[in-house]
Amino acid sequence: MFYDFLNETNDEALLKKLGFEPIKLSTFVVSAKNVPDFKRIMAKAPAADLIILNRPDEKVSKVAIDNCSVDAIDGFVNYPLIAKMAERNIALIVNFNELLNATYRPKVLYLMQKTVRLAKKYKTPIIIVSGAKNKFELRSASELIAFAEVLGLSAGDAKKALYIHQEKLLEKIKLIKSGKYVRPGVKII
Amino acid sequence: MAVKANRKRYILFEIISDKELSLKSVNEAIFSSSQQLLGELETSKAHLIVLSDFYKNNKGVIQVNHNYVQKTKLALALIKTINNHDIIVKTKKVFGTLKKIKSYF
Repeated sequence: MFYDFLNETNDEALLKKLGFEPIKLSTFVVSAKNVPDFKRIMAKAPAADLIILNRPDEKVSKVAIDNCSVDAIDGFVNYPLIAKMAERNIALIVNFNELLNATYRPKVLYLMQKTVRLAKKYKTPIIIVSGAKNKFELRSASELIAFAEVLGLSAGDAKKALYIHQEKLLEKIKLIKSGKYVRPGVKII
Repeated sequence: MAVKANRKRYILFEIISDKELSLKSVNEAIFSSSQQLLGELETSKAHLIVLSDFYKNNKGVIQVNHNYVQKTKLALALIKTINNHDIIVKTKKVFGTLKKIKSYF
């Protein structure tokens, strides 16, 4: 069962046809230019199942990772921060839409390959998403697996990037909604 | 000196679109996307062929070298439009022989 966590379409039939399990999540995407801007947005952030930091600069990423205030980061992250992300169980989002709509694809592909290589090394959870803004930007699960394999993941890891961490996040959301979640690793039985 | 035979794979694909597209335009789009992603040298190594006998109702088969299956799939995924129509190319399955693929048509 594969999940596409980040897309702006509501076409459940098409998602099923493309091999995904349609899910309804309230996702809050944070696009902050600097640290004060990020803090201001986070103070006013609505209650959401999933908080994603979109294309942050290094300083914003550092603050977000240190505070554990986001669930995933969509962008290119470098060495010290990607290791911290693994420690704090913050996922790295690899967005297919960035490559699809890139003006200069080789550079984007290079940066993605570099980030995925680091994520693999430090065992940071990876989430592959289509990031579709309309239904024609959606891609099937097998295409996203091929995309992950081209970025440097093995066949098994590429498949896992479409469901393993997503299932953990869904479980966490379920626990939060039932009021049994305390903090990472602690839950009320 | 023995020459190692080209190990072929057959990718069954489907184009999700409002209109029915001609084989010629689909062929052009696939080759152009492959050249853009892989370059001319790699595309030639991939031995990419869209099999004309199997193209019907926006469904078709691509013959490719076994080392280039994933790269070809990505090249297909990067096609956004054909003849100014928005499309989604969906790969259904990869086969090792043509005999098996015939049962899908």
